[in-house]
Amino acid sequence: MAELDIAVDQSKMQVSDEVAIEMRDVHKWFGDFHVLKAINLKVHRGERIVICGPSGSGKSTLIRCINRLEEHQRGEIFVDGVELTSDLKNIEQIRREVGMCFQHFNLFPHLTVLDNLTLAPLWVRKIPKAEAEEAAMVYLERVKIPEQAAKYPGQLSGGQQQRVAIARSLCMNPRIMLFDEPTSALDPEMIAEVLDVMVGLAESGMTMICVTHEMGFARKVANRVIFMDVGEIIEENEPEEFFHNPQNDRTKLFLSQILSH
Amino acid sequence: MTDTAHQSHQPGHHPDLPPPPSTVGLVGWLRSNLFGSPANIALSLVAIYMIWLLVPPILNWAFASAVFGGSDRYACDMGRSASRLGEAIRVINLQDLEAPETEKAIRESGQFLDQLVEALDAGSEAVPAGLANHLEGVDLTALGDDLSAAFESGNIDAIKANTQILQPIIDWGAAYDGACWTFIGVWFKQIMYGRYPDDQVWRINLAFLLLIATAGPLFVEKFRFKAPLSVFLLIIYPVIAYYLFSGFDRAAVVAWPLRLMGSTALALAVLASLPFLQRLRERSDLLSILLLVLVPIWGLSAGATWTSGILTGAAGWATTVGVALAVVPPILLFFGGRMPGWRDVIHDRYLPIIIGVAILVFIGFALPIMNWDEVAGPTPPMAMAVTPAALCMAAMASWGYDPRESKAPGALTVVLLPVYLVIAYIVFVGPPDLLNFGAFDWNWNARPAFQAISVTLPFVETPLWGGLFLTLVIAGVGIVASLPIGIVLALGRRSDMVIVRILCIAFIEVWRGVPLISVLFMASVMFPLFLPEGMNFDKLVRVLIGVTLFSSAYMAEVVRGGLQAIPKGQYEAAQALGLTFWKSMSLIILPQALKMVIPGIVNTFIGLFKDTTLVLIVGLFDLLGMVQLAATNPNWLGFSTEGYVFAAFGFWIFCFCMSRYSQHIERKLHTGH
Repeated sequence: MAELDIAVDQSKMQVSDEVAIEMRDVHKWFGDFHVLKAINLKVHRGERIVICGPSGSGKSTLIRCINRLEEHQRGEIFVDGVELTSDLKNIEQIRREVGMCFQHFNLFPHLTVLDNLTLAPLWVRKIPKAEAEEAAMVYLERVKIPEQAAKYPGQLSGGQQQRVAIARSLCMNPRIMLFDEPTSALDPEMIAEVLDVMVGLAESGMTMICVTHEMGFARKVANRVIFMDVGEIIEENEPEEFFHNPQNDRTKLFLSQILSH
Repeated sequence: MTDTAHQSHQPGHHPDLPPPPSTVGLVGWLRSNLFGSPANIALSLVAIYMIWLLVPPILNWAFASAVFGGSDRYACDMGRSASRLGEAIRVINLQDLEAPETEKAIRESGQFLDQLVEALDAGSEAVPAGLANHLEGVDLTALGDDLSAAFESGNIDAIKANTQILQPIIDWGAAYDGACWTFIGVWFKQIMYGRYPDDQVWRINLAFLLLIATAGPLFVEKFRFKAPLSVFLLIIYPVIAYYLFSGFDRAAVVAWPLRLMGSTALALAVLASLPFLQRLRERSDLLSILLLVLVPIWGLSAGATWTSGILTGAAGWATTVGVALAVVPPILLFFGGRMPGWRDVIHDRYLPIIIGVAILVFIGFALPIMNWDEVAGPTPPMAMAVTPAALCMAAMASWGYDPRESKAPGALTVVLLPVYLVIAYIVFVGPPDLLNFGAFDWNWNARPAFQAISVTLPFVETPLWGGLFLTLVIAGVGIVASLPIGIVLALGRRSDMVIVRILCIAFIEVWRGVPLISVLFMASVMFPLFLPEGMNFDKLVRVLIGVTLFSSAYMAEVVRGGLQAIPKGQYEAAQALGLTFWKSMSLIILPQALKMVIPGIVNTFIGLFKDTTLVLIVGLFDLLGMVQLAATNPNWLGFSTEGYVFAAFGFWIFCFCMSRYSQHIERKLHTGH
C-alpha cells in the first residue's frame, strides 16, 4: 500500500459538536438478504470518516442510504437535523445538501464539463447562468483542470473525470460529501491526483464520509475509521489505533490482507 | 554485425514517412475497394455488368424516350400507333389492293401521320426524342398525300417507296419503350392536393410555405430564438394550418376562439388547482383520496352521459371540458408521483404540465371537426351542470392562489374563468331573455351575431383532402404526436407505479399487436357505430388518432430500448444532485437515450410515413391513392407504371430526406465517448 505522498495539515480540520448525520438502528434488506444490520452512527460537522471492509459488507449501501439512493427499511436517519422519510420534499432538500462521488464518476457524457457542473445549480438551485458558470470555473480551478471546461467527459482521463465529478458535487455547495470508492476504477498514476483534491477538500473543513481502500488517505486525513463486515459496523476507531491496534479478529485479518501488498 | 542501412535513425527519432503510393489516391482506392482480392474482383465485375444491364434501359425509359409535355395521351401513344401502322403495312397484299387489309393500312397511316403532325405542332416536348431523329427531312403532309395517291392509283412502286420512308419510324415504334410523364403532368394537381377545390389550393401552399419559413430557422445553428419558434410551431402553427386547410363555417368562427379560451382557462385552472390539492392532502389524506376518487367518477359519468347521446352540441362540449378537468389533474398527479406545489408546477413539473396542456389543446383541435350542424339541437342541462363545476374550479383556483407567491397564471385563471363563463353562458345558453331553453334556436348560422362575422375561408371538408397533401398531414401529425406519446409510454412502462406500468404495457401490447389496417378499419367503420345518432367525428380525425396511437406504441418500445441502455449510474448521479424525476429525465436520461435510438426513431417515422398509404382502404386518397385513381381512369388506362414510379419516387424523396437528416443529427450530437 503506497503511502500518501501529500502534506496534510490536520490543524485546519476542526470538528464541531454539531451533528451532521445521525443513523439510529438502521436496517436494510435486498429482498431476503439483510444488508445493513442495526447501524448506529453519528457524524459531527467537519469529521472525515473512512469506511472500509470487504466487498459485500454493506459499506456502499450505508452511504447510499444517507442521500436516499437506497431506502432504509427500519430505523431513522437524520441529515442536518432533517429526518429522511419517503417525503420527496425532504429527500430533495437533503440531496441538495449532500454531494456524492461515485466509483465510475457518472458524469453526463452528452454535456461538456462546464455544463455538467452548472446543470444542478441552474435547475435545482435556480442560480442565474452567468453566476453558475463563474462558480463552476472556480471549482474547476480548485480541482486543477479549468482548461478542460469545454471538453466532453469522454475526452478526459479517468482521474480528470473523477475530479470533474468532485467539482460537480461541490458546485451545489454541499455541507456533506460522500465518496463511494472514488479511486477504485483509476490507474495508480491517477489515484494521487484525486486524493490530492480530496485532501484539499478535507482541509477546507468539509464533512466527508469515504468508502475507500486507500489506507494512506485514511491514516492521514480521517479522524475515524470504520470497519464493516456482513452488514455490521465491526470496529470504529481513530486511525492510529485502528491500524496499529485493531481489536476484532475480523479486522485484524482484513488489515493483514490489505496491508501485506 | 549490424546492418547500418537500417540503422540510420537513433531510436525514437524515426521521421514520419509518406505511405506507399499504391495505397493512396485513386489507385489505392480502386485496389482496396474494388479489386482487392479475386472474390472482390469477381463481385465488382458482376456488379458492373448488372449496372450496365439495368441502368441504361431505365434511363432510356425515364428520360431519353420519355414524353414530358402535352395535355393528352396521343403523344404517348405514338409508339403504339407506329407499331400498329407497321403491322397494317406488313399484311398488305400487293397483288390485291382492293382487300380490306389495304384499306385498313391506308386508314392507319392517315391517322398516324395526322397525329404526328398534330404532336409536332404542339411542340417538341410532346414528341419523344428518339422519334424526332427519324423525322428530319421527312415532309409528313406530303408523305401522307403521296401514300394515299399511290394506293388509289395502284402504283406498287410508289407504295413501296413511301412505306420505305415510313419504315424507320415504324421500326422505332416497334422498339419504343418510354415513359409518359404527360400522365403525371395532367393529373399532377390531383396527385398533390386530391379533390381540394382548385381556387382554394393556395391555402395549402400558403400553409406549407409558412411551415418552411418558420421551421427553416430552426436548422440554422446560431439562431437564437429556437425555443419560442418551436412553441409557435407546435402550438400556434397547427391552429393556423388547420384554419387554412379546413376553413371554418360560421359556427366554428365563434366556437373556435371559445374553445381556445376554454382550453386555456382549463389548463390554467388545472395548474391553479394543483397547489389546492396539495394543501388538501396536507390536511387530510382521506379528503385527498375522496377527491381523487370522486373527481374521476364525476368525469367518467359526465363522459358516459355525453357519449350515450343525451348530451350533444354545446353541452356535450362543455361536458368534455369537464371530463378533461376531471381526468387531467389525477393523471398529472400520478405521473408527478406526488402532489406538486406551485413552484413545482412552474419549474419542476413542467413536463407533465406540457403533456396536460397538449392533451387539452388536442381536445380543442379535435372537437371542432365534429359536425356541429348535425349535433346542435337538444336541451343543454349539462351546460348548466358544468357551470357550477367550472365555478368550483374557479374557487379552487382562487383558493390555490397564494398572493405571497404571486404567479401570473393563478391570477390569470381567476380573471379568465369568470370572463370565460360569462361568454360561454351567452353563447351556449343565449342572452338572458332566452333562458327559456325550449325556445332557443341552437342553429348557429341562424343567429344574427354569427351572420355579421361570416368573413371566413370556405369550408373544405376532409373527404376532399387528398394526394401528397393528405400524406403529409397524416404523416406530420403522426410523427409529431407519436414521439411524445411514445416517450411517456416508455417512461410509464418502466415506472415503479404498478398501475401506470400495467396500463402502459397493455396499451403498447394491444396497439402493437394489431395490424394497422384493422386499426384504420375499426376507426372508420366500427367506431361510428358506437356513437350516438347524429354525432359525427370526422373520419380523418379518427384515422389520425389511430395512426398516431399505433406508431406511438412502436415508438415507446424504441425509446424504452434507449432508456435501458443508460447506465444506472446516470440516474443515480442525477438523483444525487437533487434533480427531480422529470428534470433528470428531460435533462439527463432522455437526451442520451433518444440520441442513442435516433436510427430506431427515424425508422419508425419512415415506417409511419409509408404506412399512410393504408388509409386508402378506408376511402381516403393519399398520394398513392390518387395515383391509383388516376391510373384507373378510363381515358388513361395503361399508364399505371408511370404513376407508381412517380409515387414511389415521391415517398422515397421524403424518406431519404428524413434518413439523411437523422444521420446529420447523429453526427452533430456525437460527443466522442
